Amino acid sequence: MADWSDFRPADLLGVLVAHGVDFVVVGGLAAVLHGSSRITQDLDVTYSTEPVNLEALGQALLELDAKLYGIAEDLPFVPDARTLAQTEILTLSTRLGKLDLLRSPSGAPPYAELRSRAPLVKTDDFAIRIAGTDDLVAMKRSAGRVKDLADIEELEAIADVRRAARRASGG
Amino acid sequence: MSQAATALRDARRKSGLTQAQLAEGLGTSQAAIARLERPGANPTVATLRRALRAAGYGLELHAALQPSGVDLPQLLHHLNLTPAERLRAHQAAYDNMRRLVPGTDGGG
Repeated sequence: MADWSDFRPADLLGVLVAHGVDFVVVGGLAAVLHGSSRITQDLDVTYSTEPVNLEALGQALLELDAKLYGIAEDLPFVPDARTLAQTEILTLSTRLGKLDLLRSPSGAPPYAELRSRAPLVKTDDFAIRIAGTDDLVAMKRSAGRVKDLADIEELEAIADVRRAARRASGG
Repeated sequence: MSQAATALRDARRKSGLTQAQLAEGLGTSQAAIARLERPGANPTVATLRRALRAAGYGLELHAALQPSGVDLPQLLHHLNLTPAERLRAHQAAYDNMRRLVPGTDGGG
């Protein structure tokens, strides 16, 4: 079911960056940053599982007041490095909106490889890495959901337009 | 051919072959197979057919009518925005949707 609770992805990303978290944006917001016009209701990120990064991620989650999404408030969630090291997928609600942490998204290569192909995009306040269009398409194909077909088509159109622009500029 | 990588990888795995074993059957290197299975790989039809055959599969091609659902003018508009502008446009669209959906505390 659609969840239209308050969602401020730019601020959410800003907190992760401020804590020095090594992450790559995947999912719908990565598509938006590539130029997609879709609207997404959560931020999906994958991240380095180096201990120092899990510590940084845990600190960011504390600042975000992160809680397990859809779980009773009284169920304790301590986002420390040990917990994060044992978790494959975490769906969280934060004070800035829904955040999905995906250790190894389906269809994605290992983190280091994904990151090496992820373009660095700069906003007014920070620079972040977003998964490349080829990797995003592979993830969406792997998910195999009907709703992803339109996203795949749009991402492939974005890649085509960029290739055409590079050819036109001789690059 | 954007699904070539997935088709080859799935066929190889279903046949119980490693990349190295498939490479051996094709007389090529494991790295070459890894490149073919990389997202966005765009091999020729002949190369894909040969690799699939080595995995015990065939390649069937057919043309299918598929009307595009991409709004190209809108896409080009978004591609002309900076990433910061794309984030702001998304935020505005999201907040508009919130206002339209009953039961949320949207409005800001």
